[in-house]
Amino acid sequence: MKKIMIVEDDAGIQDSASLIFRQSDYEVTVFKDGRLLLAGQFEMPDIFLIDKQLPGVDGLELCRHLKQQAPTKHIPVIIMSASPQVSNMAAQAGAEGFIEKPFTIADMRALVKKHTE
Amino acid sequence: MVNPVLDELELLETVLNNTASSIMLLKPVRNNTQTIIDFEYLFTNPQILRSMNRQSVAGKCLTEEFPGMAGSELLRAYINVIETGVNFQAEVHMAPLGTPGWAQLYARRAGDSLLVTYFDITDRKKADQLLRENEAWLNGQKEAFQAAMSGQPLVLSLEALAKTITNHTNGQARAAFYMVAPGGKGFQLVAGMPEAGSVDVNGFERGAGPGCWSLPVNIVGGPIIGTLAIYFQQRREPTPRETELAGIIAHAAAIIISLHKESLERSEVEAALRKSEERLKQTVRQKEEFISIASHELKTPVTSIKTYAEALLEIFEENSDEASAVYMHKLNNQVDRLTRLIKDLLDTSNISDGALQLFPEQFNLDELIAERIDEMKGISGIHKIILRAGSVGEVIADKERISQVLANLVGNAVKYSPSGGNVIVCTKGEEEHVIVSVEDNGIGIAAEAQQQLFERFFRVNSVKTRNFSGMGLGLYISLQIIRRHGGDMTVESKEGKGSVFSFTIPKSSIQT
Repeated sequence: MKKIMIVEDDAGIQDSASLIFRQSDYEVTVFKDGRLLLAGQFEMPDIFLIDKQLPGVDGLELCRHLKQQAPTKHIPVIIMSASPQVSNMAAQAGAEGFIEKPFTIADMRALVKKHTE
Repeated sequence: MVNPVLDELELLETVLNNTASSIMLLKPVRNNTQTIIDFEYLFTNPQILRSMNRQSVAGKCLTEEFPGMAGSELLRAYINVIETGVNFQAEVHMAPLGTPGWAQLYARRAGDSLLVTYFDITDRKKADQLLRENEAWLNGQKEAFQAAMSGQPLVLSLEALAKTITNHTNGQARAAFYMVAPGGKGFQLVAGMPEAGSVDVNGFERGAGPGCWSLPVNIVGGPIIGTLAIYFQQRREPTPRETELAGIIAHAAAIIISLHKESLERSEVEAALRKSEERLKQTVRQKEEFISIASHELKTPVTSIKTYAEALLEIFEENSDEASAVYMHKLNNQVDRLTRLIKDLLDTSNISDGALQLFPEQFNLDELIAERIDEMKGISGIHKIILRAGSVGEVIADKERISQVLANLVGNAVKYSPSGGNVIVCTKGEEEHVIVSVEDNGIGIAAEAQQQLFERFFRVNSVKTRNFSGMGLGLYISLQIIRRHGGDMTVESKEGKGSVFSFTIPKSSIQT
């Protein structure tokens, strides 16, 4: 079973995102900000789904941090944002993927599948 | 019997003797190499003799009467008129001709001789000079003028002005100018006159000066803006020179005051304009900011609504609850519509901020268009979307944005041909450009609406279009996207027949 870690501050998206993977072989963990991840206090997932706009530490900053740490630097990161412009910034921060909000369930599943197989 | 020739000569003499201008006729004097070296007076009218302070100059030469003329520029100008026949006209300083001051001078050839006329412009020159010299003074009086414009009495020191005119020093003055604006309040011009004593306008005001004489202050053709009074310490008439000086001061004061009032009013208007412009800009900025934040914030709940809707749709389909699935499908479509509206608002706000960014990449436009058309085939059951592709090949452009434009044009073609039919997408490759057109046989666009079609929030308003909803942003955004690519978009349309929208983009105007 693959593990997905979602970092998202909006409760609606936290809840609905887990619906996307409800019947699949994924186990979803949700963090509402990046502080615990910065502290390294988490179980290693197979993929990170990180919102760009997070309270405290910014999603892109978090991505850069994960890409610098030996235990996490090989784990794919997908950045989510309502601004399509963030796509380029995400690539620069080392993220493997980007998805624009709102997204379709199909697109999200395809993207996650692509980076976890 | 009257001799008509004599009559005319008498008439001419009368005119020459009574005109305000100075007139003389000069005969060139040549040396033995036929070079003109001087001029001899043939005729002089009384005015010129007066201005030269001579009784008669008959038979004399210019340089003989006025040695300053020898080698002067004026003499060279006279000679040039005789030699070339080209008239000479200038404002000249009259010192070489024995007169202080300035004259407007005309010289022209009359037969073998030179006809010279001039009139004194010394006063006008002085007034001009006054204005120039007093520019700094004027700027220093701004507050006083402002007070006067709000009804306060105004005191202006014209000491400097009067000094320029009369060449007197403070200690010599014994008369004063006092200027009163209509209504009794207003401009008080204080200046000295060239007699003994010092100026104390307050003293004169209190009635200490028994002599008073005044003249109006006005701009030619304008309203009277005040009265200039000269107060004397003795009861007497002003001398002609004083009258003249008062005239100059009144004239200069009128020009200075009106110029200043004008500039004051202008700067007030400008300041008010700047203020309202700034306020307007701020309002626009706030509005754009609001749209940007609002649309970004709206996307967050829409994201979860969309996920719930799609997930529910899946659940209904899994449970074979088809009736519910249909509603869920409709809900999903409405969410997509809402998403498009939010995106359009965000794009519009980015365009007006100049923040619409392109992310160019190299791709095959034929493939992209074919793919997008394939996706759009399902949007209507009564339309047929046909692709007539000329081979365009690779382009460097923002793939997503070009797709957006295509979707907008095809969407419009479907929307505005409600009875169905064909929507034909044509592509054509030229040497450096590609042309894409989308044609429909729908309701068309009236000629007068076509020009405004690409404006922000523009909606064609007619009975036929009343049933079509929208914000009027699609074409505006599409045109801006195409323009950002260095291209352009046009429309050809006939009401009731249909429309063709075409856009052209350079194959690679944008650097990746």
